[in-house]
Amino acid sequence: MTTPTRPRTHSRTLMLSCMLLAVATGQVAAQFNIAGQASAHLLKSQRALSQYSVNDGRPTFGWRFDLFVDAEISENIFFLSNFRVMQDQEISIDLFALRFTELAGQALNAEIGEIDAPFGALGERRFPRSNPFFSLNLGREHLTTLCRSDYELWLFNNVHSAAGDGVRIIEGPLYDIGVKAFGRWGVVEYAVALTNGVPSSSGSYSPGGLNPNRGFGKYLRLGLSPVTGLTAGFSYARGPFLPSGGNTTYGAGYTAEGDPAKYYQEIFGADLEYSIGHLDFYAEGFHNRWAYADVYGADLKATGASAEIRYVPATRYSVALRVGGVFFNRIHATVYGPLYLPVFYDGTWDRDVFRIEGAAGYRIARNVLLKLVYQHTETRGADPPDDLSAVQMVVNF
Amino acid sequence: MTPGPGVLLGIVMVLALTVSGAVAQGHPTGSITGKVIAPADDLLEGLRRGKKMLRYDDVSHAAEPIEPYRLREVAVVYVEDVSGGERYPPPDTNPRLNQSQMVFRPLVLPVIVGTTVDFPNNDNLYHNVFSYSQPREFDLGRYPQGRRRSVTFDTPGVVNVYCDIHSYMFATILVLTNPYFSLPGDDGTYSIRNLPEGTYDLSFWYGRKKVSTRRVRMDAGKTITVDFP
Repeated sequence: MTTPTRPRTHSRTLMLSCMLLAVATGQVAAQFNIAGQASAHLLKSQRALSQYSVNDGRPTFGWRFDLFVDAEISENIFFLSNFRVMQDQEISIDLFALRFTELAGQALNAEIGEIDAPFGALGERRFPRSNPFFSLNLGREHLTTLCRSDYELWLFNNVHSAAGDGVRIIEGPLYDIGVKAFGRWGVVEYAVALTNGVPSSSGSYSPGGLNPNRGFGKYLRLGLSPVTGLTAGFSYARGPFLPSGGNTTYGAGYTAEGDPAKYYQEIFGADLEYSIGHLDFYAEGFHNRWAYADVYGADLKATGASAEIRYVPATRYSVALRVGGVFFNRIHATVYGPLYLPVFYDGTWDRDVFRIEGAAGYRIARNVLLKLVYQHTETRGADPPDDLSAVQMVVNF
Repeated sequence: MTPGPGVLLGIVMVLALTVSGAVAQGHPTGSITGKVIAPADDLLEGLRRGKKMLRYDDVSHAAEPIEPYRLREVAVVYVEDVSGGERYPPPDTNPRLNQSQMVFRPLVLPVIVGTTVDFPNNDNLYHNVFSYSQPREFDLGRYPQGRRRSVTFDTPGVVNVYCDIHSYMFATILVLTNPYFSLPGDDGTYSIRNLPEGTYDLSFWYGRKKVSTRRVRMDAGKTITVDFP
């Protein structure tokens, strides 16, 4: 249960400070809309060499703060931003976009800047108030054995594998720098985007926010809402994930030669959302492929799905359940083994993971939510399973 | 000349009608009229901005304009309490708090204790109406366009109503102990008739809050003028 880390840039802090100062002095207050969520939690996980073990299993307090600062520039032009900070980390800017609405009625709107990349329909669930659980689903949380820094498979190094140092399949709530067009025709909604990065390594996590790849990430999402409350969506994204330049070695002695653009991530996704009365159902699945056949003899694939249901049995109370898993394909390749010696490996390139979560919520007030969450994660071949319990208080304003 | 029985009957009827105008349920009554001036709060602007700045859900609907509110949809003048503990019957027809154009309409709805309010969804998307106010907590869940849910309000007080999906949406239901309230016209004028004689607190509510309260003395057969603010 780690959080995406970003380059330490004091410019982010400076930018936020200037913005808040401008609002505080009333210079532009009339244009601005400020909201936010603050949450504090106490959690206890299993003590294990696992990415799902937090603070070596010690009971731990933590907090998170999301600030939403928006501005209405004109009737159809808006500025949207999310600032997120957790436990004394640097301020992360998740969203920093200009939105142009009604370019062709409801059929065409656009955003440019750091946008939420259109993969899946996470929506407000990315924030603690609307997410009945403590974290996102496994497909957006699990850190694979594909190392973030050099895209090497570290199957036998626990620091990089079990403990989690690799890239995610989908980077959590998934924001990236680029441009997006979106809109709706009747029951059909669409979004297309061009970004610096791809779902597993968005450009916004790269040093300086630059595009380290040769080529852009491309996104497409289509949604169908035949009746109110029901939306079925299909998502697709593809783009190069290897940094351009250099003569980086991938695999045990293999070199990623030629155009890095041929080492791409391709991911298909499907999502289904249905709600009626006090019941809310959401599911999403994906099939992902990193084109790595030149290096490992086979592409690195991952397939996963999760489904969650939330129910409000009485005013103020809610209960929720989520199940999910991620499965990895087999490879037959030479990889770095123990002591960095090449070994022939035949097996899945990461361990399959399964998770079941239960949660109960109580609204103390309209803007105050108390959550109790239990999470049980099983990693195939690992013992024991990871358990996590958390109590979280969320305030939105 | 002596008046005939028909003439006498006519005189009695005229007298009876005159007196009945100043008597309600056996009590001598009077009336209050006046004019309200809306505070500077631009309720519509706040709602319009909140709607336009939706981020993830229903963004494509956000640009649809909101029809301006009439004064009677956002303001009410009402008598706080009428001594005697008398129970007044709720109306035969349920008042409505509509969800329309992604806002509540009206923003302020005065009702008598015991009234059942209907909450129809007129939008082609979901709302989730709820309230955690002490007089009446409820959570109506999600229901589509053309459907409605109902809530009965048995305890007097202020009920703040929200939408769980669109956080900028709000409305206030004032659950009153008596029917002596008035929704002002577009020119701000209002009138409360047949108020039993006595001393009352007369309040002016606008948008989310009570603007001011005046103590008034009501004498039988009189009409007093009270302007707000």
